[in-house]
Amino acid sequence: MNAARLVLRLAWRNLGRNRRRSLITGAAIAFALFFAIILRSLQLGVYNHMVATVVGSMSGYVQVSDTAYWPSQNLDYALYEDQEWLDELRADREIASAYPRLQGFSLLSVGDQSGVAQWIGISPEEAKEPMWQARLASGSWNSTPGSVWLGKRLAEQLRVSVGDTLVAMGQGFQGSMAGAAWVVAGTLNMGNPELEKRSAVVGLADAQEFAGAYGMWSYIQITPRSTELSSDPTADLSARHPRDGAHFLGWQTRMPELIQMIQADSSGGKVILFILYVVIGFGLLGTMIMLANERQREFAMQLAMGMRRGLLAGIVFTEVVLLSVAGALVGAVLGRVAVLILDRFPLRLQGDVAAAVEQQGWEPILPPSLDWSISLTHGGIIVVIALLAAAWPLRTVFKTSPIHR
Amino acid sequence: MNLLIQMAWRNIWRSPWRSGVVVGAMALGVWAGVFMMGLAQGVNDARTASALDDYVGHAQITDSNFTANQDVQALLAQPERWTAALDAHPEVESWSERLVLMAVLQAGAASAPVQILAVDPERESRVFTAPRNVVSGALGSEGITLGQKLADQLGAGLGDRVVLSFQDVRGEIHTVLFAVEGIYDGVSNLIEGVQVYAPLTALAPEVLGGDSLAMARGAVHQIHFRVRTLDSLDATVAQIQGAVAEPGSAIVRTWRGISPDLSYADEVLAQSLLLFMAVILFAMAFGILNTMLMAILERTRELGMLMAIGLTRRKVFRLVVWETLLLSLAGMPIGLLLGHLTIAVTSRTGISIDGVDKGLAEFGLQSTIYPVSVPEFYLPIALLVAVLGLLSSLYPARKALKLNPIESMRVL
Repeated sequence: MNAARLVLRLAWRNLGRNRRRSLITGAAIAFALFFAIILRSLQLGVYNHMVATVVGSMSGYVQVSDTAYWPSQNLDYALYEDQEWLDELRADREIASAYPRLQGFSLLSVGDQSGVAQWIGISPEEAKEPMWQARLASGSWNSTPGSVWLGKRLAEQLRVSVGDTLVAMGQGFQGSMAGAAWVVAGTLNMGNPELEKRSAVVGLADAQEFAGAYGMWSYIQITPRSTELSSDPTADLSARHPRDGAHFLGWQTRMPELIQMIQADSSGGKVILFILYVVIGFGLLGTMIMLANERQREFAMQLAMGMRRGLLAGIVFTEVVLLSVAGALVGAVLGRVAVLILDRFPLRLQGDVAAAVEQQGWEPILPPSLDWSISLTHGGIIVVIALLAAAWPLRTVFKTSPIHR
Repeated sequence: MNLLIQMAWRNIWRSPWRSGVVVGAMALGVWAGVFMMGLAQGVNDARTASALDDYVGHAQITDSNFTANQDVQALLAQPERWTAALDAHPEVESWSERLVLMAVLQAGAASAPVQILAVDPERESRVFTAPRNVVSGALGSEGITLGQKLADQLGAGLGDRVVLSFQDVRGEIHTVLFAVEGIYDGVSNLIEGVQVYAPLTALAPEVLGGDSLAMARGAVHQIHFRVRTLDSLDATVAQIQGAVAEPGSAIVRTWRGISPDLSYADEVLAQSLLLFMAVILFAMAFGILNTMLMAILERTRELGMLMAIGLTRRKVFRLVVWETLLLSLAGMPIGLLLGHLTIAVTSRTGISIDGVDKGLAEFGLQSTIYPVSVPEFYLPIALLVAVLGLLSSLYPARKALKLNPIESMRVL
């Protein structure tokens, strides 16, 4: 115990003895972590952005449906309305919003124009969400029963505008024939050309009447509070709100292509990160070599005075531990600040690329991820790298002769 | 000036271990960066190539109204003029005519929106991969062929009956019963979930609202074609456009026009790779700054001595700048050369990623990646290294400038 305290005290004093050197070494560690955090936050942030664009707004992060609903998305496997249970979901602190929907496919025709569309019945509360409000391209959300809001491109394709009536035909609940006349109340920017070509939004009650699925929901769309990639709340939610026949499905299960794309891309990102760490590792090693060279004389002196090599090595090692932890803390704070700034003022893609990305319905920005686990993981990695680099000064301690020099 | 550079160079190698580590780190960083770029470029090229084979095609002739909103009435006027031009052009490898319909497909109780392609199976399979990848059944002359993904989703199998609902050219709705005769697999899920092949002979009379097969032969929405060499695609397209007089509202588009996201993927990749390279080099610049700063503080006595024997402050400043710059630049060409060589070798042998990443395979990528050399990035990287080296030299050089020769020499 006493020896440990002695080592700690000596290490601390050594750091203080040459503050400038300690500062430079600590700064090297801090900056290394700073860059690693920025790089990884940008990488993961792009995936979050992608997921938010693709699933966040339309199909939802988590869907609760009948166990048989996926993958056929068959209307016959709809859930019975259960307001009590919906309220229970909404009361969950992990859930930002939960809305029931009914959806299916139909043929829409106006005159001699027709097109295939996915109709989505949304509840009046959901229509009030800023996300839907912001999407309105023309018309208004104030509706009378029998209103439909078409994706902008679908409206162009059918050559209809607000106030026109169109006929919807398709398959209803349990094989019945579904048919209705809907009045176009507005057109929508769906943020994705494909969705704009094939989406028709109607009121939930209208959708139930159209499909003959009275008192039924296809699924409940849940947006969790935390939408970071690393947290998948699906299993938790499922355990907390059990219901017979209900099945919680995260977007990861429903859209395997997206998660595969992210994984493929992320492995490339990890290679880049690995390169960064090799570079950083060498930088730290350079600093450590210098530190060892500079202090060789001092080591020799202490050894000559009878210091045990083991104790000296312990002191040097403790110095590096103190420095790297302090450096990592500073780096984590700096990285956090930079990430917050990048979140506020995101990097933008430039030129034609930006225009093309925008046309695909993506905002051409590279937003960072604000996930804390990035700082933790990479802080740990940096400290380990610093400790590995400390092998050089330790080697010097054991090789230095007390007589030469 | 020469003397200063010489001194700087010798100073660097007075501490071979330390400088070696810095130079090595730079070489390694640049090498890894270049190789990474080549690898990413290779993956991207392979992805583009497989997308072209799977569903985009090399180029396409359509009516401009059809491109705009998939209007079933927008048939291509006089397609035989175009096919004659395609047949006559030596660069065109194959072509396929398509009738394209948006429809709702109903299988049992499930339904899904699909895109029906009415094609000549033999011709289509020479332009796209899907008809060659029929895993069960066959691309029939009476029934339809689904993608594996759609079949799984709807629970439909070979021999099952499905109903297609669509609009004909006169605006009337048709509901037609078909049997599933084939299932294809091995192309992108986005395609497998949507594209359904139907025989032209069975579908055309329904679409055209008549029963005249002679009329059906001349009715197409798109002609897709493949060329022998993609590099001369633009020239080929221009020549084909020139070969048909009065094209009317027909347009010829290359894959870049058909799928702009594919052509921009290259550029997005380039921008993000340069950004990541910049971050890596920036981190390296801090390493160099640290090393130099420590070197200056360590050499206080020596620098003081140099000043005392008459080296002007300006020259001391330059000495330190040169030292830093040389230290940064020494590793860069080694890294570039190594990177280039690595890519040159691996682009021939390929890198097997078998079992490493299932995600890549899902994109229709082969399990071997062939990196592509990226000489267009060499100059930006070299410039980045030089600029960052220069920037990281300023602070240590300023420190050296502030030394007082007399006091410095007193330091033990």
